[in-house]
Amino acid sequence: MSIRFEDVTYVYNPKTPEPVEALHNISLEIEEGSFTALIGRTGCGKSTLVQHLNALLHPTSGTVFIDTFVNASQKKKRDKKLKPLREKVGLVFQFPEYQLFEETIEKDVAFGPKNFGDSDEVALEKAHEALQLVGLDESFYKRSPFEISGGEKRRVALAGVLAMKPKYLVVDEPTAGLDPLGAKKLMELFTKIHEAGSTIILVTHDMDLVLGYCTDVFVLDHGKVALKGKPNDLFGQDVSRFSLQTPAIFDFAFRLEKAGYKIDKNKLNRVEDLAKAIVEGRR
Amino acid sequence: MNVVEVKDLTYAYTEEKIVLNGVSFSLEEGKYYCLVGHNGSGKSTLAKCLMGLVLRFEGSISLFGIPLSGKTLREIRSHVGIVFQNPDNQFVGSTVADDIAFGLENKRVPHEQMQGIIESFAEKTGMIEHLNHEPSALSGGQKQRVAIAGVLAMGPDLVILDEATSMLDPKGKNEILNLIHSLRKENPKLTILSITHDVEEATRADEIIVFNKGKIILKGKPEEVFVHREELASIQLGLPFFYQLRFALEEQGMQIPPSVKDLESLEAYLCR
Amino acid sequence: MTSIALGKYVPYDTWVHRLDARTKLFATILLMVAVFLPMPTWSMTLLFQGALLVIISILLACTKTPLSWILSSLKMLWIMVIFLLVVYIVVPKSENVLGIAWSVNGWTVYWDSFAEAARIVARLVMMIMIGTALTSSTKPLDLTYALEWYFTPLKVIHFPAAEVAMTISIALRFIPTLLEDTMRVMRAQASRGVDFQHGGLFRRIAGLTSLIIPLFVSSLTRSQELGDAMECRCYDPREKRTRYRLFHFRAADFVIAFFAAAILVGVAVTSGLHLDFFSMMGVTTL
Repeated sequence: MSIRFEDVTYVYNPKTPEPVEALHNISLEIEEGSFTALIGRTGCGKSTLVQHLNALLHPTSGTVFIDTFVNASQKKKRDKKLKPLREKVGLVFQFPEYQLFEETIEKDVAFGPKNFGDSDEVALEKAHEALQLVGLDESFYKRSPFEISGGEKRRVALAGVLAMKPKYLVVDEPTAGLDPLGAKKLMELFTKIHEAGSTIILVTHDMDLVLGYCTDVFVLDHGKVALKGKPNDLFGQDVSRFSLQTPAIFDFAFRLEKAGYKIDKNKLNRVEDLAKAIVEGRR
Repeated sequence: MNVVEVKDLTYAYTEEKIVLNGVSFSLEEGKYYCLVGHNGSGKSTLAKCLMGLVLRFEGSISLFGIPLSGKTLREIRSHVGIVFQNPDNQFVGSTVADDIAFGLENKRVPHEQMQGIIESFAEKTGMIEHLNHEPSALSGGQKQRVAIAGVLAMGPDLVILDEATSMLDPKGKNEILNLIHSLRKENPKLTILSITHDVEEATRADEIIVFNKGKIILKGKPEEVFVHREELASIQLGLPFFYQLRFALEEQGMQIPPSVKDLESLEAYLCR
Repeated sequence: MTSIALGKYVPYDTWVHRLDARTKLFATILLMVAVFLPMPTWSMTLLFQGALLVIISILLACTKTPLSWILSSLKMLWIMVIFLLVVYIVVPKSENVLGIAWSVNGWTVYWDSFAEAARIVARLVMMIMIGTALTSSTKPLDLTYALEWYFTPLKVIHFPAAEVAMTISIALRFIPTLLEDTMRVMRAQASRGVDFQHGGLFRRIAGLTSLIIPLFVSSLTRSQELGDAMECRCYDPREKRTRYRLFHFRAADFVIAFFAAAILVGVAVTSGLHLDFFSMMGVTTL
């Protein structure tokens, strides 16, 4: 069971004078149970790719397999029932706080489960569970989603997707605009969800997050998969050609290596690792 | 004379919800200040007070020696520019040129001078090739550069950046920060107050003001502020990479002299 | 989203594009009136409407608007054509000069009914063509300025011409942004299980609310922030402002204005100044 792209091409505005090819013959596999990062410069095709996971977009050519669901370019070969897929793949878009609309927070979070056929009670129960998970206690349940802070809104929106208990959780720039500790807490939450058995797909510009939390990484460039592998292997090489920043830890490690330090980059994920490597490298 | 003089500034939305609680500080001409604090600490309300968007405050604010009030608003605003967080919501004109012109039109700059001013500031912000572009054809970073050009064209003495980079990708963020630094070199009298939660940006500031729950809790040069590790952590702020590494090294038992103040000097120290 | 051809600007640099927006607005209105003036006889109608059609076609061709755009905006007229035919056939005029087309079981269909329907459709087609020529060669913003210029005399009666123009230009500026917002919220709600196309009435209303409320909230935030930003940049609607974009009439503008006026006068004189409002709208018998 996994997510598999086979030769997927996607073209915006086909059959017009100005078609835009966002994905070009993409083949990749996101393994179940991984914490996979999708990275690349703005406009590299990440967001387009992610929308295929939920059949919000259908490939112009090629096929996407999500477990047993088939999202193919040809209508005939495509699975028609979208609901089971959308329950399985939870998509959290950028700035999700702009999708809140219900009178109370618990109702908003219960909206997804209810759409997938849960009764009011079950949906509310799932909502409460999801709210607890994102760190919002009972005092929030009956409040309006419009009177809380921006960071809290983001967590409510996230809970709205988590309440559907997705097997695959896709998050697009979840930490954008959050303060450092807010971002850290959110990433720790994803780690927790990952450890509980979900597959996480993280779309981000923040290379420190990729290094600190992800198990696998795909680099997209001009609609193609340019690189794939483990974060530590990826940042061991020059990534600036994809307009990616080298994480601060690796950048500093490179500088020290030039001066003769020996640093094992396979174990370099946190600042503490770097400090340890420096102390050992001196001896 | 100080550019900004704030004394005992207090502001409350409602009786219980006090956003600013007795804030006092002053800003000197030509310096680059970073006001840091977590989301909801009252930073942005402070910016609104300085721009006169909120006038029901207690205490006093004066800019360039002029006390802020409804009567002096127009005069003060002609000396102060602000760049907000959301690139889309401050783009007034239908093209880049029209947007830069917007402030000039309000300031009643004669038509004959406008094109020259617009072109010179579009040049400085690297947007000269996009003069006739519509906002939908621009990236977030480009829109913010237009916003900066529009503000600078009005000839301000103080520029406030209210989370101006927080919605941008790393590339856009760097573009804006580098632009700010080159502008400061060009005009040493320009004072900048950047409201941010980006602690990396704050390491480049002349002075940092740390905000929490509507109060200033720390103030000083970066190296004076970031040594207060616990206090910063307790108010949801992280540390810049250099300080994280420095503390981690110290925990490993390494002694680092106080003269090591940034990554460059740390590198030199480690490689000596 | 790109299929809305009517009212879309085509960025070319033709002589029509270079004309002053005020001139184009003036000429458009005069030509539209000319198209709608009734002619005393059918032959005159055929002659004059034909002549107007040629002139308008040439104008439109000069703007280099893609023919496919014009055809696609004319497509929806078919419903109109059928509707008009039915109405005129079922309810014929009292005077019929063109004779009987056919007569079945005492139910008479006159040629006049077809002619009448054709006349109205021809007018509509020409209206659309004139409108397209204007909007495809003039930036919306320039049109706004032109409107403001025409409304300026109304300032005497405290009509807020500048504010209205500012409002229109901001609305135009934000259309793409709001479309993007709509797409974004739709995608987000679709992944939460909303089906905007299928399902019962209740589900669909719930789905629609989940789209409209977030859009409403974000538009409010946007307008609030935009207002703040404008205020901070010294905008005050009560104060005088200078202008970045100025308009200048050139020789071509006077020629076109004169040309349009001449056409209108010519048509008006021929029509014998039968400026009866109802017959102008083509609804004499309705």
